[in-house]
Amino acid sequence: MLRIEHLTKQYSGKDQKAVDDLTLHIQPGEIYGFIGHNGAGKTTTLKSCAGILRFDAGEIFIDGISLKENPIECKRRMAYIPDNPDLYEFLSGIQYLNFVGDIYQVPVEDREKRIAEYSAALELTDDLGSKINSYSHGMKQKLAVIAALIHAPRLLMMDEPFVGLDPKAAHTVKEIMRRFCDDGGAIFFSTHVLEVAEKLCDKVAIIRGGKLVISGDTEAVRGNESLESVFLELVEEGHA
Amino acid sequence: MLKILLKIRLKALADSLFNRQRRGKSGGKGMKALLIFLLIYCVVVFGGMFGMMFYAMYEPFQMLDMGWLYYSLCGVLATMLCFVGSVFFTQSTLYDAKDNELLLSMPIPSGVILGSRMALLLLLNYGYSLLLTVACGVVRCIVAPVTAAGAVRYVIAALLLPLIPSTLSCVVGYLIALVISRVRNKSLVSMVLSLVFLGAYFAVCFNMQSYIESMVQNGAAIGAAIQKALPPFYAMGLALDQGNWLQLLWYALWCVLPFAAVYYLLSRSFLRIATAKRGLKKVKYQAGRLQASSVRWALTRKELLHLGNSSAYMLNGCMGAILAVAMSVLVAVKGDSILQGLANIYAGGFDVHAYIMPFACIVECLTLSMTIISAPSISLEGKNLWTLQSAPVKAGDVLLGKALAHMLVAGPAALLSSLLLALVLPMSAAETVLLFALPLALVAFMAFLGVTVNLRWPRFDYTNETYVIKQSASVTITMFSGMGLVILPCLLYGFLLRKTLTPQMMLLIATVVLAIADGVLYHYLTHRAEKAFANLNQD
Repeated sequence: MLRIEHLTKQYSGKDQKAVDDLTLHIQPGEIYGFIGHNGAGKTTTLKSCAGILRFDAGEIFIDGISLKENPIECKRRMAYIPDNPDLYEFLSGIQYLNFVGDIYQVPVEDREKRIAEYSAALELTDDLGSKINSYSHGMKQKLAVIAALIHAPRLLMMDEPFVGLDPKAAHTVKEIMRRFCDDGGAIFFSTHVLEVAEKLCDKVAIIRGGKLVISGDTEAVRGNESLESVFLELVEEGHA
Repeated sequence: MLKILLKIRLKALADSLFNRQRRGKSGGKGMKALLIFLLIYCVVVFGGMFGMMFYAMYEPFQMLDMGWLYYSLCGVLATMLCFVGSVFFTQSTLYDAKDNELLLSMPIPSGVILGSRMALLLLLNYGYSLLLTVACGVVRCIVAPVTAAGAVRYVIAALLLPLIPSTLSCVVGYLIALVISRVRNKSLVSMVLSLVFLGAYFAVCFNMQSYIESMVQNGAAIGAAIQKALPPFYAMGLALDQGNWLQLLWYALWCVLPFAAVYYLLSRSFLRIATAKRGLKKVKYQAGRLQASSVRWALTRKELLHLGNSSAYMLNGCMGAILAVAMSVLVAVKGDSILQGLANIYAGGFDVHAYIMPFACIVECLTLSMTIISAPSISLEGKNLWTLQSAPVKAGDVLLGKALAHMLVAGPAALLSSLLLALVLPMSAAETVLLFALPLALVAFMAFLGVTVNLRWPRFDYTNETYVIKQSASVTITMFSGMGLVILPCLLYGFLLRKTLTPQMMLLIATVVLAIADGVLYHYLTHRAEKAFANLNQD
């Protein structure tokens, strides 16, 4: 579903590459966790895959389509949720969702059904009539999740999706993620919460200084240890 | 601490004008030179205008033995200009700043935070008041000899003057914030209040001549009224006209004490003001049938909703369109007397009627060129830019949506304005067609130009939308380019082509040139701007 081949990105004016020759393959049905310290290159990778950031070298394929050559077609098949859900605050929740529905040209019946389903699951229905500037961080995060699912994408990319969510909403989002992948979708998400990654992800990748350190089945990566121990060891190695 | 905060605020202000989106990257020498040139141009034009006004009033007041009124009027006009220019800035900066919580969480006394904001307001008011006080001082130096002590008194008075409008702005800004927090349609109310202030200011300026005449006729009575109603300005007038140091001290107290009192009162309640949750009303959602629309219309509607929900954007972006309609209504109401006045002035000279339509058309275009809805529209995406960059939409559609929103506001204003002018003023059928075609071509040009310029000079790291709406490079360049584009053909015609072309032919040429420019910019935005849009905010 998502194929990242030798992705390299360097910001202008910076000596070090933000992402250096990163290769990852994410299959349909997989929840793929992306772990790394602050500034490791997680957000840069996700933004590059979402078509927001231009990259210097490498290729990204979504559903076999090159993001460089056909970005519009790639973007139709995916959805991206940023780490900080900055949404149009002058719109109400429902106006925002309808706007996203229009942008993705989702049939009215489908968007109404999905909005009703996901907003009920995330307990946001009553608030959809209010302006987004009255929302809390968690409510914006929930709205961003609903907006991402409104066009039934095949690939979901999420940057720290659980930040700001209350425990119940976080649990619901995890359920939605699992169901999404069980239905054939794929999820690529970054997180700092290693317990979540350990329990939720089919596969994980650890990135350090822009370079992929290890990737594979969660069980295989952690072995007999906890994911936290593995991560800390790898980070220590990097500093040594 | 105050110095650091003030430095940060001044840096943010300078950055919003001179720097491009990349942090720390300068906008280039050419850009700075252009903006400095535009600033000088404004100072010269407005300073010159005020200078002529002061020149006209000095002699009559001296003859009536009311020389003090010359300085008092300067004080009153400067106060009004500062007040109109800064009252909404005060409201957003003092009472609605986005970085309040961040600063309050730091070990900075709230009085210092407030002080830095009031100091910035004061600096802004110095900028406005100097336009008048310099003009007033220069004229005074030209028309009569000046002593060293007189010059010192004048400088002291000019330096103290902005404290008065700053005090007023703080108080009225607080009241506006209070009113706005209690009404439902905040943007509309805010815009109406702004228009009322602006309308009152322009009404005073436009009627200044008749006020002066009235003052000359009823000098003593008006002098007494000012003495009674506006004591600080009376004291200022006496101090400067009669060299009265005691009156200068009295005037200084009038300037300093209210400002200090307002600072004291606000600093006591700043924490409550800054952390108050203002009227974010919750609306319970009732599920209904959703309306689907095309991608392009969805993008355009989003722009219109943004415009409608931001009073600062609405007021500054639509000012030209509002003025165009207001000007046409004025012509429609007072058309006959204006025509009669022109006929009287030029009786026996050239054919006034041949210039009526071109003049009306130029004035309409000049006001329309002040409409800058599209110029900050890319910057206003701010942190939401990811939404469009990750969406399956062409950059051309996004950019065209921004230009279309501009046209949907300015276009009807242009049509209404042209219609009113065509109904009232005498003109041929061909002239009527031109009266509609040229403003519409200009509206389209301004819409496309604003987006194109903003694509070149965007800003995304602002803390308040007002900065990009009022002070960004893209807005300044777009507005002055539009005004220059209207004025340039007039100058060309006046100095070079008057003998070879009729004014109507000149307007026709301008329309054709603008239509071609519209086509070029449309093609650029829909076919060539993909890369520039993708490159936005890459750092």
